[in-house]
Amino acid sequence: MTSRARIRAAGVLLGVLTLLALIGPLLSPWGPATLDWDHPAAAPSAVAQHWFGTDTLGRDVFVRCWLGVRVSLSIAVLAAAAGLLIGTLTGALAGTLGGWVDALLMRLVDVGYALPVVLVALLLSVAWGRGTGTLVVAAGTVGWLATARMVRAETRRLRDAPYVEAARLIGVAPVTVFLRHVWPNLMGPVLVHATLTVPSLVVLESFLSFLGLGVQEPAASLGNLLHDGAREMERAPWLLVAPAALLVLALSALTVLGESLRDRYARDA
Amino acid sequence: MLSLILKRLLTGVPTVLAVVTLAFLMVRLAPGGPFDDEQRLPPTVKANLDHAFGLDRPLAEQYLRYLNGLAHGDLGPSLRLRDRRVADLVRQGLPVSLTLGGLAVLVALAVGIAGGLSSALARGRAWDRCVTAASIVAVALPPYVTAPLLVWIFAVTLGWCPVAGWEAHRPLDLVLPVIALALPTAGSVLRIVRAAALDVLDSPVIWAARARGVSALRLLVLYVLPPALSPVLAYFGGAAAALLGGSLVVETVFGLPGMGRFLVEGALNRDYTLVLGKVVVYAVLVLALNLVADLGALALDPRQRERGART
Repeated sequence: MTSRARIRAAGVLLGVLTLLALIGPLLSPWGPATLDWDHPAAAPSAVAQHWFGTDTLGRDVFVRCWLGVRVSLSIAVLAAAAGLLIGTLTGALAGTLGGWVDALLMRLVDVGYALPVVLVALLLSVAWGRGTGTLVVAAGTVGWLATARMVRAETRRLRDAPYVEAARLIGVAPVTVFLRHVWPNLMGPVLVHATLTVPSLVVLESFLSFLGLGVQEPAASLGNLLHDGAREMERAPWLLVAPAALLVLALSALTVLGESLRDRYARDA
Repeated sequence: MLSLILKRLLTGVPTVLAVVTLAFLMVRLAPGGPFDDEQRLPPTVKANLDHAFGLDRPLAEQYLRYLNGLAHGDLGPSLRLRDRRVADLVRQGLPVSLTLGGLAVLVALAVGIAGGLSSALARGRAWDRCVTAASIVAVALPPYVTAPLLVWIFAVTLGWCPVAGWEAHRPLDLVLPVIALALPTAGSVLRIVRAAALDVLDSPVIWAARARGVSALRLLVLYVLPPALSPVLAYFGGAAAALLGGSLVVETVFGLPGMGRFLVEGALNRDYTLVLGKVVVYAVLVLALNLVADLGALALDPRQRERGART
């Protein structure tokens, strides 16, 4: 497959997943919290219109799965955006100014890398209560580290580029040099990097929700659906298989999209 | 090379110190304490407990005491597990986590490198397509999905492996956990190696070597492998630390007594010293593995050696 076709295929898959995450719950006659007392832990069936079966409480897995995809993807995108903003600013600052600012900020990134994410999430959830907001902040606090390193390296590379040097030599103000010549060239690699960050944040989100630190019942996320599924695996395997399949689909699409974009537009980054 | 090691040791100590300080503050700023439990303790008992563990002293003093202990290799007493020292808990848990994680790292590297190289060499053919597709799925299969699935398929249904346990130290006990832990990393390594190997295969170096009549095996081992491995090293440090530091999910599902649960249990019970113990071990692991990765990069890339020699 050419990279163009791959980008298109991944994009389409992602589009379909997003669309279903938005409208999927409406396609089913069941509500997310409706308890179907006649069919608790029922296998997928077209007759009862439980396409992915029901959980032990009789809630429709199809509806809850798509709600879970919606929640998981929005958290990952939000956290990626937050991490991107902080990371880009930090990296650009360190790369442009150099010297002790650079050293200080990069040591800070080293410290961040050496701190386990789960600890940050745990302590935030202890301090602020468990929930979606905490999760976004926790995921964002790790998301910016890789971005900062990447943007710093890219900024330093651009700083030595002939046209940037030329702009400096003819006396363009440093701020203008940065805004006009460095910043626009940073955007490509940053966006590609962002696409690659989202899948890792989906994994992080579902991991934290799996531990019970993230999205709380009765709200669904891929993480807590997988957690419930893993517990009922022997009795009702569809509870695990359905969210796991959606997770694999979403992650594959995001990974392929990010990697293809990288190969196409940001080979060196 | 020696200068790199020295430099890392010099920057490593302040980094660990900063990590410990940050973690100490975060743990202590979180509301609640180790002894306010469901069953309310009489105030005098609680005061005595706080006093016994030094929790009634000013925070700065507690911090300095902790650092003093740390400098002597003492991680303090566990606040919740009665009569246990954190250093002893680490001594028991770390070997289990290191065995599991070490095997997972080896499996991930072996599978990833072999799969990545072979699929790059078979570019566009059926083998390449299968391996690439499998690697995407592997990357997308976190251990909390695979671990229960593997137990269900291979232990419960087929009965090939034990469901869980580690008391008897049977090698078979480790098969499923290692697979669950290694799978996503193996997928990532495979994709990195494949992409890098494809780049190398297209480069003039390889045409020239082929034209000179270098044998296929020599070409692979001496010309393709080293540059294909260097991007893996950039990824290796953090990934390996995550595997070696103890995986909560895998260790819980398979009942392995490693360090995975320290963090969550410690933080939920406000067992401050247990949390900090794990944080220290993890930070040292990250720094050590990054050093290993950088030394590997030096060994693989002569350009970096020259640059290092000049500066």
